[in-house]
Amino acid sequence: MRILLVEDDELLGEGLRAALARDGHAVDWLRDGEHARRALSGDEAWDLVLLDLGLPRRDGMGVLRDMRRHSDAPVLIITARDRIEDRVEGLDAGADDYLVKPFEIAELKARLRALGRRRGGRAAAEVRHGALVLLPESHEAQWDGRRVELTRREFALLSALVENAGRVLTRERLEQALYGWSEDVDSNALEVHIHHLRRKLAPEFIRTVRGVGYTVD
Amino acid sequence: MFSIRRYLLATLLAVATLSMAVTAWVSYHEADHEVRELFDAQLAQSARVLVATLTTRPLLPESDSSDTVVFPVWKPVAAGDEEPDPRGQALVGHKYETRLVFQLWEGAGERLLMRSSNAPVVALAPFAAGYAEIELDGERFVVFTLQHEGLWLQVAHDDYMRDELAGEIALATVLPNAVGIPVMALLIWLLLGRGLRPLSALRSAIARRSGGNLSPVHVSPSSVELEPMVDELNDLLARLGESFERERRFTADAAHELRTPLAVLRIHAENALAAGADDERRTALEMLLRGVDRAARLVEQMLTLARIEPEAAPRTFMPLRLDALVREELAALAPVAARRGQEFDFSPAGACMVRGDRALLGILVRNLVDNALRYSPPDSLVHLALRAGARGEVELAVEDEGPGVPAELAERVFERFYRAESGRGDGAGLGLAIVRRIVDLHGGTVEARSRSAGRRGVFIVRLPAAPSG
Repeated sequence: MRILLVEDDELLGEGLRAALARDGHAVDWLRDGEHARRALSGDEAWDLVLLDLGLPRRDGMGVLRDMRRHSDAPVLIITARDRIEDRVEGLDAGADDYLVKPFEIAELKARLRALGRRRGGRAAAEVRHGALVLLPESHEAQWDGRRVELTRREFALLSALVENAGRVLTRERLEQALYGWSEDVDSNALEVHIHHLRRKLAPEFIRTVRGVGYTVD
Repeated sequence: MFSIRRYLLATLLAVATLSMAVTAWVSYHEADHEVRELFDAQLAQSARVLVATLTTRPLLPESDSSDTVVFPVWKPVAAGDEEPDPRGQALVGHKYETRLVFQLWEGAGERLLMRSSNAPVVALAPFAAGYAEIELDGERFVVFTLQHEGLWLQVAHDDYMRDELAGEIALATVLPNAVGIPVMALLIWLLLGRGLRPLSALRSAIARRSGGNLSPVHVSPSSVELEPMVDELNDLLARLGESFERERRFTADAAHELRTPLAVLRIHAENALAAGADDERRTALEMLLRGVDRAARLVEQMLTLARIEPEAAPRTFMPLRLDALVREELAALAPVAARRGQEFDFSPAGACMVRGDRALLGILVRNLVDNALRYSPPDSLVHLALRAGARGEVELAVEDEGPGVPAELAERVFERFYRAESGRGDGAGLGLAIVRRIVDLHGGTVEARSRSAGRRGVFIVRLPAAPSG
């Protein structure tokens, strides 16, 4: 998933970024509310926004209300504010979930997966598409009942394609799903990952739409 | 324990009883005197009547007889004593009559012509006209002696009668009052209870409230004596309330502010555990250490903030030289500054005396300088200026080469846990709150400014100057 992390605390942000990247998520990290507001009102799209509330320059609640005018990306609030009124206010302002610091990464990831499922219109934990079964929780993939070893990038790429099955995803969209802003990306990295996936699954499973991108039927 | 009600009851009763005793004593003596006058007059009158009677009626013995006529004294008839006196005495009389004694002498003690049956045969008193006091059968008698044509008449009555009468009169005056004492005691007790009602109202007003209730106490009915006490009590409650509220807010803030550092520790620890590669683990552990340092610093700053509260420790304010104090603190901070190649430039304008607490002012200077070092780039210079201000204050300015504080945040930076640029530095957001609190305790002011828009932050502390001595 491509995740926008809005967190002003340097150490916490670094920790979250590292933890999410390990799971193959592409993390873009902003450190204040004003930047977050501008980024969210731009053209870029994120699969999920991790939003701290106590932000410099613009409060997290303000960022949330602004973005809800034009975006319905899932928002998970991570904050030190633990009062019921704060939670209610956050959820009512358009947040999809609310997590109070300090939290376990396992719980954060589970909530991310749950939000990802809802976004894909599913409730079950596993993703099924034809012969393919994806288990986001364990990062496992099965093809025709046999287990397939995937790297985290491959898994993330496959998830993005399957969740948008029937739609063509552009190169840029897929690259964004794989890499955060701060990462250097080889120009043919995407092709390499697609090539590996076709080899591990079936050559015809991922279809190339020439000049546009890729799709899963 | 001392009881106002019991004390007042006892003293009021004592005063009432004493005044009653004095009244009784005075009326006894007054009565005694009057009775004596009356009795003396009566005695004299009796003597005269007796002499007149005796000299006109020949009751006296013949002049050659040595006999003495004995005049029987009337005695009250005892109950059941049917037989009247053989000498045919009148049945009517008075018990006090028994106490009348008389003697009729021929010449001054030559021959006793007549005597009452209760009189002795020797002269009652020396033969001199007038009153005399004698003792007869162990009792005091007053004697009146009268001379009439060679006859001496001595009439005496028992002083006991007089005492008894005077006593009875005094008792009659005092007794009704004495009977009233228990009634008075009861009334005083009840009225005191009523008068002390404001006290019990205060007691129950205090007793009724719960431990957490620090709102002002209202006493109804109150009184002019109690009102100042209630006011003082309410003042104390208000101060306690402020103090509690500060504590409560601080605890809440602290618990809240510890969440993020804890989240940091947790996430880096988990990252270290989950890391696949050694360098990944190493990075996570380094971050974890930084997180621990930051949490430790936060806790330390919170403790400092808690300790500078006046309730935490009594403060000793005395005149001291701020320039010397700043120099000492700078010397202590120099190694910290040197690590990032930073230096100080301190220019005091002579000896600047302020009245303050040495330890608190040390913390103040340390926090200001520490703040300047944190927000200044490496190899920069922190300027400190100290001079006498225009209105009898001492002005300490700390200027750094950091970004400064935007005008709209100039007040907010002094709030607890507020960090102007939270991404930068590892401050806990308490240093400036500590500075503000110490300045407040010294009756001074502090402001944050930005010199030349967004560059160079300046913090100016003004403290009341002490007369230099």
